[in-house]
Amino acid sequence: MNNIRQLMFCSFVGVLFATSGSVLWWSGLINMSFAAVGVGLCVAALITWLREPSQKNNEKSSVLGGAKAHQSMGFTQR
Amino acid sequence: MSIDAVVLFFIFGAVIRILKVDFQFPESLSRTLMLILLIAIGLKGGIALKEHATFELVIQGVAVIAIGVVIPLIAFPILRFFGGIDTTNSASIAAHYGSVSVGTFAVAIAIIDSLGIPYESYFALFVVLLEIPAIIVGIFLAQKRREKGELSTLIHEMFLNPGIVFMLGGLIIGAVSNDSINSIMPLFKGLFSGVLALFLLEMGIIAASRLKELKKNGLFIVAFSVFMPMVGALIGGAVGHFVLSMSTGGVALLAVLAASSSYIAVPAAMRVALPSANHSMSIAASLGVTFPFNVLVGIPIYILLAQVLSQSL
Repeated sequence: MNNIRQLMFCSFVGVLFATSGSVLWWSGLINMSFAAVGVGLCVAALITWLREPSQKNNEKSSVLGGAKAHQSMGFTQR
Repeated sequence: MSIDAVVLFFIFGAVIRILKVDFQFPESLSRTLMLILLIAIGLKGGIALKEHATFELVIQGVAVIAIGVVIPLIAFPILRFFGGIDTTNSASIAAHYGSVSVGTFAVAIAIIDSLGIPYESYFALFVVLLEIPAIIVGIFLAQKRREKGELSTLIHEMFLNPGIVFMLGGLIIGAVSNDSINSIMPLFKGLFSGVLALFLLEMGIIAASRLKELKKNGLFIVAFSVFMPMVGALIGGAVGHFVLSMSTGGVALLAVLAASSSYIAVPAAMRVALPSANHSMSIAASLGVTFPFNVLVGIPIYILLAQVLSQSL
């Protein structure tokens, strides 16, 4: 996954489907297939995120870069 | 757990493909099944249209066209912002989702009929109306400058593709014919479910084979392909109930139409209008994910949505 926004969207859809599907399933209104789609998306998004070291490294480096910039601007704690 | 028999044929088709059974669906049979389905839906709509040709139908038609315009306008920014997909491909995919799938509609009709839920039987007219606006919106979103020769080909694809021609032909024949039409109805009405089952068997084979084309942006496209049908169904259901005051079955069918995505008319039009777009990705999303999702998961939820809306007011 190239884009953190894609991951966010997948997680959002997964959580939305899983929660609403579970509620409807518990209410006896629909079968569990809708919730299963949501759970599947959440799991797939999680696996994709865990398997994407470059993505996390990029984020980490950007965070460190941000911290360094923070320091260089004179906001270092003494 | 009970599953509709025609839906099981779709799963059966997918299993055939997954198990790599050495079987090719005969192309001539495939075309024949599609032809019978299109004409059957058209005839049914035409017969109903003869009895319901009122001004109210014009208002409903305008509302249905508006749905076809709005859905691509929602899909496009999602594809651009969250998916990071380029403008041309986003416009092409958005156009697919604004249009309709006759196959999904046929499955919905079969299920709603089996449940005995009443609906406005002239819905085939709305299927025809919903095919076109999304293509125009898709081209508008892509902001492509076009040549005159291409434009004429595009207009031909939009208005004279086999899907629209045969359904519209059936609609007109059904609307203007006399009682002699009853003599041909055993083929188009009596065999409808059987033909639909064979059609879904083929769709299952094709859908399973399309999934491998979702390598790039795969997870996002899958999430988008199940999210957009729900958005479309909510819009269709809301318009059907609150704006058009349709029956329960009508609301469910409008939700199904808005939730479905095209895999016949729009791909053909987009190949002409946006030749640089990745057509295999949009067809894989539409046929490989959205169609099975709607058939296996979506339609019962859209019917439930319609029932909840009908009971609320």
